[in-house]
Amino acid sequence: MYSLSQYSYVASFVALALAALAYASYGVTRRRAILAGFDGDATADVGERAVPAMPASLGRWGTILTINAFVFLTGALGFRWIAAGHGPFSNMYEFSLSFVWGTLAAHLYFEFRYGLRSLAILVLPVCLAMLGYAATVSSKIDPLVPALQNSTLLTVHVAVAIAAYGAFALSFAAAVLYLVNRQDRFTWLPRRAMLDEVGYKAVMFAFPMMALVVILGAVWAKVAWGQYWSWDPKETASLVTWLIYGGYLHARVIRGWKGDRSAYLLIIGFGAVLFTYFGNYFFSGLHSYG
Amino acid sequence: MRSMPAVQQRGRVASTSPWLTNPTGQLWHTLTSVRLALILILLIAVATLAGTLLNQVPGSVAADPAAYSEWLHNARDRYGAFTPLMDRLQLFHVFSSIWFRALIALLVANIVVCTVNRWNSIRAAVFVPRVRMNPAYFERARIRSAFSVNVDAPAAAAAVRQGLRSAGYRSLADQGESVALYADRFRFSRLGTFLTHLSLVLLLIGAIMGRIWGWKDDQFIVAQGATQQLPLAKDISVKLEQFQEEWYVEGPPKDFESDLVIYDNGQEVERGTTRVNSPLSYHGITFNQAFYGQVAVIEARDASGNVVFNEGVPLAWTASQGNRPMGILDIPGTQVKGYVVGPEPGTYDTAVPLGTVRLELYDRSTGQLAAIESLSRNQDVQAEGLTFRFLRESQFTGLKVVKDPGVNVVWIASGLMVLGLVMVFWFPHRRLWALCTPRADGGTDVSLAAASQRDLGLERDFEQVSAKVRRALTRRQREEKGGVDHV
Repeated sequence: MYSLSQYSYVASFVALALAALAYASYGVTRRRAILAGFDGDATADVGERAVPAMPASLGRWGTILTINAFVFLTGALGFRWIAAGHGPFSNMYEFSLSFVWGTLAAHLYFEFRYGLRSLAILVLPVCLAMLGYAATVSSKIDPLVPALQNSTLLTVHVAVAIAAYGAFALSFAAAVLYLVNRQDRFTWLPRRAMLDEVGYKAVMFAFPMMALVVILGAVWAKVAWGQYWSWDPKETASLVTWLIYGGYLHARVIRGWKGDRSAYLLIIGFGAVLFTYFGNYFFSGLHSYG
Repeated sequence: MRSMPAVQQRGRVASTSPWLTNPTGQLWHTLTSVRLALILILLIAVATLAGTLLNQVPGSVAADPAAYSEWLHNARDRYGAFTPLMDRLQLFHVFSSIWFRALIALLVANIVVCTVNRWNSIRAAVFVPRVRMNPAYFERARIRSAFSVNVDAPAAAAAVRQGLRSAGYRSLADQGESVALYADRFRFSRLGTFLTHLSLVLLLIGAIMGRIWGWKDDQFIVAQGATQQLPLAKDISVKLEQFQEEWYVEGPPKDFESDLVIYDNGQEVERGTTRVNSPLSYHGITFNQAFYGQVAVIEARDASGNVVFNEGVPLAWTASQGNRPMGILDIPGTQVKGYVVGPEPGTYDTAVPLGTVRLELYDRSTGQLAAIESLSRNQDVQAEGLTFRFLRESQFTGLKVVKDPGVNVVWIASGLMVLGLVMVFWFPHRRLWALCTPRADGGTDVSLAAASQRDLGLERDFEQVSAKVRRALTRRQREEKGGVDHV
C-alpha cells in the first residue's frame, strides 16, 4: 500500500506538471488568437470568452490532466490512509499532499461551475511547489505520538483545514489575476468583475471552515493539553489568518476598500495561510508535529 | 438681512468638531462604522502576529519580578537595545497588555453598537420586506427578465408564484391594478450576522469567566506512590498509583499514562487513568498528562538513627549547568536544604555517573554551599549531621490541572459562531421581485428582477427561477386556452 501511494504521488506530480504546461500554452495561444482578431461571443455567461479550436483543445488537455493528477493524488492519500491506519494528516508530507488535494478540488469545482480555466496558470504552480516540497520531506509513515492519538479530531480538524486552505489558495489566484488584469486589458484573462466574484465566493466557502478549524483546534487543545487556548504559535497564526479574511469580508462593503485593497487583503491572507502552514519552521510550540 | 447672523452662526457650528457639540452622538456614529471594525480587525491581526513572532514571557515568569528581570536580561541577546522600550510597550506579553485589551474592548463596543444599529433594517428585510417595486426598477435592475402572456394579471401572478415555489422561493403578493410580488429564500440568513457577531462577545465573556473564577497549575508534580495536595484547591489531593510510558520500537513515544486517585477532603472521589488525549476530571477540574520524569527516593536519618526523611524527590527541573535533571530537597526541622541532581540524560556523564545522584546542600541560614556528595544506591553518606541514603529510582508524573468555569460558555459561543457563519455565507438571503401588469388586450406583462449587487449565485438562481416561472406561465396559458376551446 505504501509503495502504491508513492507511485500515485509521482504520477500525480507528472500529470500536474503536464497540466501546467497545457494550461500555460492554452493561455499563450488564446492570447494570440484574441490578438489575431478572433472575436469570441462576449455575451456568453461563462467566465471566459469563447475561443477557437486550438487553444480550446489545449485547455481541455489541461483539464483532463488536472483531473488525472487529482485522481492519482486521491489514490496517493487513500493508499496511505490504508497503510497508516489513520487519516493522512499527521506530518508535513501528508499535509502537503492533502493541501494540494484541497486546492485541486477547489480549482476543479470553479473550473466546471464557472468555466474559469485561466486560474490554473497560478493555482497549478502553487500546487506543483507544494508537491515538490513534499518530495523534500520524509514520506515515512511514522507511528502517531500521544498528542495525535485522537482519530476523530485528527481527521476532522485537518480535513476541514485542507478544504479551507484549498479555497483560500484559489482566492489568492483570483486576487493576483484581478490585480494583473487592470481595466480588463488582458482579454485572454477572465474579466475583473468575475475574478473579484470568484475570490469572494471562495472565501465565502472557506471562512466558516476556517472558523471551524480554529474551534476544533481549541476543542482538541482542551482535551489534550488542558486549555482551549494558550496562544500557541500555530493557533495564534490560524487566528491571524481568520482575522485577515474577516477583515477582507468587511472591506468588501466599504467604499474605498472594494477592488484593489480587497484583492491585496486576499494575497496577505494567503500569505498568512502559508505562514500558519509552515509555522513550525518559524517558531516552536506545542504543535511540534506540523 | 436679519437672517445673516443665523447663517454665520451655522457656519461656525459646522466648523466645530462634532466631538465637542455632540460627543455621545458622535461616539455612537463612530462606533457604527464598518470602517472602524475593519481597522480594529486588522490592528488585532497585526498585534496577534507580533505576539507570535516576538518571544513572549511565560506566565509563571511574569508573576515573579526576579525571574522576569532575568528573562528580560536574556531577551537582550535577541532584541538588544530595543529591549527596555519593548518591555515598556508590553510587547513581551502582548495578549495581556493594556493596549491589546483596549483594542478588544473597542471591537466589542463596535460590534454591539453595529448590531443595535442594524437591527431595524435587517428586521425589516427579514420580516416586513418591501413587496412592491416601481416599474422603473424592473427596467434598470442588472438581473432581469420579462415575458408576455395571454392571461390576466391575477392568473399570471398565480403562475409566477407557483414557479417561484417550485424553485424554493416563498413569495408575498400585493394585489392592485397590477400584481406586485416579492420572493426570497433563506431570509433567516440575515439573522446569522447577529449570531456571529454576538457570539464573539459571548466568547469573550466565557474567556473572562475563566480568568476570574478559574485557575491553572501547569506543573503539578506527583511522585509514584505519593499523595499531593493541589496548591490552588487545598481540599483536593491527588495520588499517583503508577506511571507508565510506552515507546514504539521505531523510537517515538507511544503513550504516557498516570493511574490517579483523587481525594476531596480525604475521601476518595475519583479514580482513573490520565492519558494525553483523555484527561481525568472531577468537579470541573481537569487533570491532563503534561510531562513526567525521574524521582530519586532519598532517606535521611539523624545521629540517633531516627528516619527524618523518606520521600521521592522529583527531579523535575533542569540544572543551569550540564542539563542535568534536579529536584529540591527540603527536610523540615533541620539545617538541610538543597538539591538532588541526576545524571545528564543521553550522555556518558562522568560527574554524576549513571545509577548515582549528587547531593548539593546549602546552609539554611547563610545560603552558603555546605556540602556536595555523590550518593550511590544503598550506600550511607554523612553530611551536615545526617546520614543520607539513595534508596531507589522511581518516576513522577507532571499534570496540568485546570479549572475553567467559562469553558462551556466558550463552546456555546463557538457553536453559535459556526452556525451564524454557515447561515450567512453558505445560505445567503436571495431576493427577487416581480410585477404583473395588465395589458389593454387582456394579457399581462410579467417582469422579474433581482437585487442589483453582484452575486454569481443569485444570477444562477435567477436563471433557474426565470425558467421555472416561464414554464409555469406557459402551462397556465395552455390551460386557459384549453378551457376556451372546450367552451
